[in-house]
Amino acid sequence: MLGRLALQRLLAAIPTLFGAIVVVFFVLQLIPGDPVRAMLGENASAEEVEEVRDSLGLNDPLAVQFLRFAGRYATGDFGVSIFSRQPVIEEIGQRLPSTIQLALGGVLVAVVLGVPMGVLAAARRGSLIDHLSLGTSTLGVTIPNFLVGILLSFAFASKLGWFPTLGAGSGGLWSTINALVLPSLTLGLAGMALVARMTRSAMIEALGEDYVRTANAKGLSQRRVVYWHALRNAAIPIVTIVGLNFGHLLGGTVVVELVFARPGLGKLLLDALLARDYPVVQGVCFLIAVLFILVNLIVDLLQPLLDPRVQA
Amino acid sequence: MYRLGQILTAFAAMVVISASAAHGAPTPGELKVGVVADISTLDPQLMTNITDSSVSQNINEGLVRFKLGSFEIEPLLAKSWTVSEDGLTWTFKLVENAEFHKGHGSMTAEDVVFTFERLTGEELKAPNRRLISSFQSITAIDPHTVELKLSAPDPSLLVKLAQRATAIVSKKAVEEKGAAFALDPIGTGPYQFDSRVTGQSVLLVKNAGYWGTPGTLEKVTYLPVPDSTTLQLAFEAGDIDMIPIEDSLKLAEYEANADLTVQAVPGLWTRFIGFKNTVAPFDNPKVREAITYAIDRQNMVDNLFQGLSTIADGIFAPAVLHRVPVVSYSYDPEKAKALLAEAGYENGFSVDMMVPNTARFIDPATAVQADLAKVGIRINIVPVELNTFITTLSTEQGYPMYLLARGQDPTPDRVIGLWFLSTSIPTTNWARINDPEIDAWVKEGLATMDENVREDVFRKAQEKFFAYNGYYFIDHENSITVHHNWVKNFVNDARNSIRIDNVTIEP
Repeated sequence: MLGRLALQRLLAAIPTLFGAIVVVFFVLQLIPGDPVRAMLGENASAEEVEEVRDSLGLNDPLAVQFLRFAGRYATGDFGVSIFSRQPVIEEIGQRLPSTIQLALGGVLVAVVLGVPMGVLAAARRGSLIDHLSLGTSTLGVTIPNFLVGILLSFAFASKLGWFPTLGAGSGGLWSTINALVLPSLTLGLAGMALVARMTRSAMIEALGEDYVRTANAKGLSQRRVVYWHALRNAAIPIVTIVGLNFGHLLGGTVVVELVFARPGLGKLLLDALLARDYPVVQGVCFLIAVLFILVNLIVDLLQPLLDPRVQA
Repeated sequence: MYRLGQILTAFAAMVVISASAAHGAPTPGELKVGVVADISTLDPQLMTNITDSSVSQNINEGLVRFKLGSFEIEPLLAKSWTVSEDGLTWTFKLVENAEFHKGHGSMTAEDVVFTFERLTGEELKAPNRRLISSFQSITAIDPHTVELKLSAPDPSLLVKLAQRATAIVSKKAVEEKGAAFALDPIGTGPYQFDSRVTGQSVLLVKNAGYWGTPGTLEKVTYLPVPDSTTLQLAFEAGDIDMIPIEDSLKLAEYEANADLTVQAVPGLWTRFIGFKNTVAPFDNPKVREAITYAIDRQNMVDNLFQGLSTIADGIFAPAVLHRVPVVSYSYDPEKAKALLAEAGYENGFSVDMMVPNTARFIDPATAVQADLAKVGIRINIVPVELNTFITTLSTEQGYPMYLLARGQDPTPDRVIGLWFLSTSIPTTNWARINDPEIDAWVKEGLATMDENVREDVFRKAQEKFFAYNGYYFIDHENSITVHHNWVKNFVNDARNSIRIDNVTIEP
């Protein structure tokens, strides 16, 4: 019963989330550095810094600060950025769509390019196509995505002008997609390699099964055997790897967002960390923990759907 | 498969065709400025970063401002002012025809009083609330006159009034909008805030009802691009009209390009190596002196920085009032070795040098390491993340040896107190120079309105301070901007403030 499973998992997630924010809170305190120093610069006097720290509650005992923080989170109040004074929810909300778009774009590229590559490699195992696709996927993993991004941007945006050099588009659907192409390709390349390899292994295994021999004996076309029968059975490990890769993808968005000057959660987190904007760091980490839990939940729930033999 | 192929091709074609407006086509009346960070807030009383200031100066005006391209003060919302004999009371007469954007009414003394009280009050918790440290009160004498009272004379008051923290906001708008004012500011400036897309752009449009000389542009867009390669690519493709430069190779490339104009102005920065004077081996003045003979600054400036900076001839940058060119060193490695031997270090010594982990500091650190190695001083460069660096440096512990740069103001007041006074140890007087004479001179200069006295005492303080060799001053970094030639009348300044007075686009 999927509903039951989902509920169980969500309840189990609560202590996980709590643990995550506790860890983040205390680890942040351990890092040397001071948000007020970041704001006021190296030329601020000790008095000025202390006064601002006091007014922001940063000089209160840790236990007090933690209780204040936990209390707020329990009521859904994620606090206010030390720098912009905007609610953390707003800061995140303004950047989340762009990051989600990019992450999905990366997943799409990884799957749309990786799965056919893996299937082809498995179906023509040992051939030139197999070796070529393995080689390409290895390249995808080894070339740093920062470099790939800059090269793609230089060639297709700067020189050819097919895509914008920066930003996430001017709002319309096509403009958004247009601005997503190069960043998604950059992000998806490493994922594509992973998906291709996993697909190939899973397909090879599936193609060696009895039901494939039966299907062939029945005279079904190659296409039907491979795509309809074998691939569906190979889907579970592929979906699992895509889900696991999602976390890696979220991390990878930071670099891609930087190269393509897109707004994003990764950049928000990085900037907030460097500036010691604690409320923002805590908020983003919390969100990432939530997203992780959700994605893994979805992957787990998909499995019984894909393969009735798997118990919910 | 064939159908799928057709669909995919059509999709791809749509995506590519929808590529936005042709690259590299400037539009008259529309300026696109590249900046390295997104705005954080557009509330003048809250802002601390330079992008915020560059955008905000067009929206919210102060009582005074700097003349374009210099640090002379000129009237703005205050058309004239007088100061009492004792320097404690300033009376400002305001312009009478300044209107706030989007129908928020006329600017009056009430808005000025509101702005100052908001800055210094408890509620807002403004980071720069102590900007005017001797601020006592501000009152509206009549709708167009305000009286500012100080508890002590402040010779640099006018410069402070040209800063963002005291830019005048609309009382009505702040009360209406509350926290939302920060992302929808209302001011009296030649441009008004139009819209912002987080992490992507900030758009200002011309204020048709501006009380002064009208803005010369219809639209100004600020594009935050944190990665320098991306920024340069976008600039070169013509998607951005002007950007800052910090890379010597790009500087050389752009200078050689006839379609671009580079403007480099000595900035308000000094880069230096610092020593903690209270710990060995730097507690020995001969050691510090030896180091000053061991580094070839000219070589660094000529071959490493190549146009990004000028050799430091003063503690303060050239544009700072009352700064004197006290800094000069001779490059003489033999003399350095002799001094080290005299100090008891004929075999040299090893030491860690802390450096913020960006090329701006690591590059000179590497050159310094090579030079000092020749006289037997073995430097271990320790890169440290910037915030950690600044926070640790300002503690009792500090760093024995480090490399950094410090920004300054057009007047020396704030900074000279922080760097020179013994009371500023260890927070901002990192060399820990504790000299009663220097203390007396600096305090005298800070307390008087007489510029002749200030010039005299500050000169003496700088000379004596330099002689301690608590710092080795390397260079003054330049503020450098490059723009396409279709941008006309842009004037760069030492603070890289991106003033757009008189700028036009002529493709």
